[in-house]
Amino acid sequence: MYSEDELIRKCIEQDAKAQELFYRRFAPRMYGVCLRFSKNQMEADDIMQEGFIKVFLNLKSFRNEGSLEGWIRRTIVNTAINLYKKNVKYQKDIEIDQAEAVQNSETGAYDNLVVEELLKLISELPLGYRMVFNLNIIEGYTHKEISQLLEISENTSKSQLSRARQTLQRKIEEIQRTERKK
Amino acid sequence: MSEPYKNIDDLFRDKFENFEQDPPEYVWDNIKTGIQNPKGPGGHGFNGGGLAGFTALLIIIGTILVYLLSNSFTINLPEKGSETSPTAQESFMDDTQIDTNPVIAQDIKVTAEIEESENRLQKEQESEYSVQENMESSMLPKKSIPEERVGKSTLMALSRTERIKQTNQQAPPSPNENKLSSLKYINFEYNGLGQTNQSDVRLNHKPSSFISTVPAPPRDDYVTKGQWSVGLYFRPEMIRYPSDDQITNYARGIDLHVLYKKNEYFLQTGLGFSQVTDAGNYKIDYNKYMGSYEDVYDVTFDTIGNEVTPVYHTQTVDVYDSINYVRITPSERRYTYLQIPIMFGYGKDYRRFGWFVKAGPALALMVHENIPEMSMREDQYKILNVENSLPARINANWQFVLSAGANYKLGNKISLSVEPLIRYYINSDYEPGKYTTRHPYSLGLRTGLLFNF
Repeated sequence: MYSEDELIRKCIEQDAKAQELFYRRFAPRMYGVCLRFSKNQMEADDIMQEGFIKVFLNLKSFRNEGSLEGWIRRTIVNTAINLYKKNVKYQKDIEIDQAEAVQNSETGAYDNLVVEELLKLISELPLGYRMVFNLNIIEGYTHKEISQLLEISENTSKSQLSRARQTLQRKIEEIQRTERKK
Repeated sequence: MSEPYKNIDDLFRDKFENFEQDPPEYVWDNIKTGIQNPKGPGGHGFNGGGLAGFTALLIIIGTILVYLLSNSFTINLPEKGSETSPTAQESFMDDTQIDTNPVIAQDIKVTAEIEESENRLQKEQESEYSVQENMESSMLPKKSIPEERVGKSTLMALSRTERIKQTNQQAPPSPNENKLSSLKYINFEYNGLGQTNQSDVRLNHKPSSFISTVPAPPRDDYVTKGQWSVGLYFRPEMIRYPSDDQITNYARGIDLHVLYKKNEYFLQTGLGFSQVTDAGNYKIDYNKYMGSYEDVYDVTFDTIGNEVTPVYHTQTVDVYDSINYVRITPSERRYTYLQIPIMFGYGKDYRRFGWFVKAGPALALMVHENIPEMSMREDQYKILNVENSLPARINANWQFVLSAGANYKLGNKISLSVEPLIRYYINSDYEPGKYTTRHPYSLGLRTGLLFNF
């Protein structure tokens, strides 16, 4: 079993076995990230492939100063952002006066939802909503950073997050209603 | 038992914090292929040698084409109205002009008849000779070839010849007969270079004494001397990328072209330089600088007098924030391309104005790139990762150029040329598979001066 440093060095040296070990170590978690950013499995596969190729080709630029997993995750997220940019041809800046006006619902009854259901809900979100929701809520980027990454205004980022929340909340309530009827 | 979630954000954050799923096996197969065969920035396999070869090939093909085109039309006929070669003019005469003259028509008919009869006679004589020869040489008995038939055909041929000759002798002499007979064995051969040769081959159909009085056809149709021009152009262009969110790019260029024109057709080639700018961003992951401290990495003790004094050996250690920051800074890359086109065209000139259309391939080679370094506001920082939103460009690409325009003669030797053009990129100018999969195109307006020689 290689240590992380050894694994990196061997991957840089194009050791095929080490490359596969490296991939196997990080693939499940990174594929989870890819699935969140995509609308279907095929798109997730594309992000995963392109992202990991970038990781392997740029591994020598990793400075070993932060977490390797964090570095790989950023590369995967950036690949998803690049794919988003390719897919979005026309972006409308929807200015919103009260971007934060929509408050989070406090239903207290979310804990019965499984992650597969939530993943499905995210994948059904419109592209822009999905990107902003993922970047802000799960990846922890600020609206300013999102606006720079996605080349949209901060208000657009806020409004899309708000609408994403609304959409998700509505869909969760629908699921709960359906379950209650059962 | 899981904890109750107060809001959606917490729910998703918590559920996806450690979410894992195994990817399909083919993903690793594709990654493995991708990292074993990474595409270099050259993209389409153009290396330095290949580029040089392509360039040389293009220039050689262009030179050969220009040379062939100029040599295939080196007919230098005399100037309009020149009498240096009247017989050449006769050789260009239209047959209908001759046939309308009854006397000439009669002469031609007689001549043709003589010619025809002589041909027949020759054939029959050859046949007779052949038969006789066969009779002598073959092993067949003589009775297999009837003597009567051989003799008859000879007699028929002779009598026919005789009859024609007698007819000619008996016919009343036409007023031009003497002239015709004197010219009967003069022929004019057009040698393709605007000169004629007299030979002793007999004249066919065109008695020169009559034809020479007919005015020569206009020379303009035969003026095929080519014309060389050199053009210096300025060319702004707008480049569109159909499948990307990449905004429209603008390029500007200058061209120095050589043009060879023959009749209405022309060939144009030369060199052009074009500069294009890509505006993008650097995305920099970094840690902020918080300060520094002196780290004691060794302690030694010295005895000074009777006291033991510790000596601390230190080094300055910088401290960075553990939070990762993202900085987006604009980056503007500039690229210079050498463009080598080969254009084939058609155009017409009038008094001062002229129009033309032309099309052809062009090879664009990147000769210079200016990629600025990223800039940071902080004096001290620790960079974790840098990504540029713009992909690299490939070193060479092929384009197809189509343009139509107009010339205006400013003087005998100089013309102003204006031509809108459309350029279709046969392959994208970015690294394949990273930015665009469809073919960009550009619209431009080339304006310049043409110097004629």
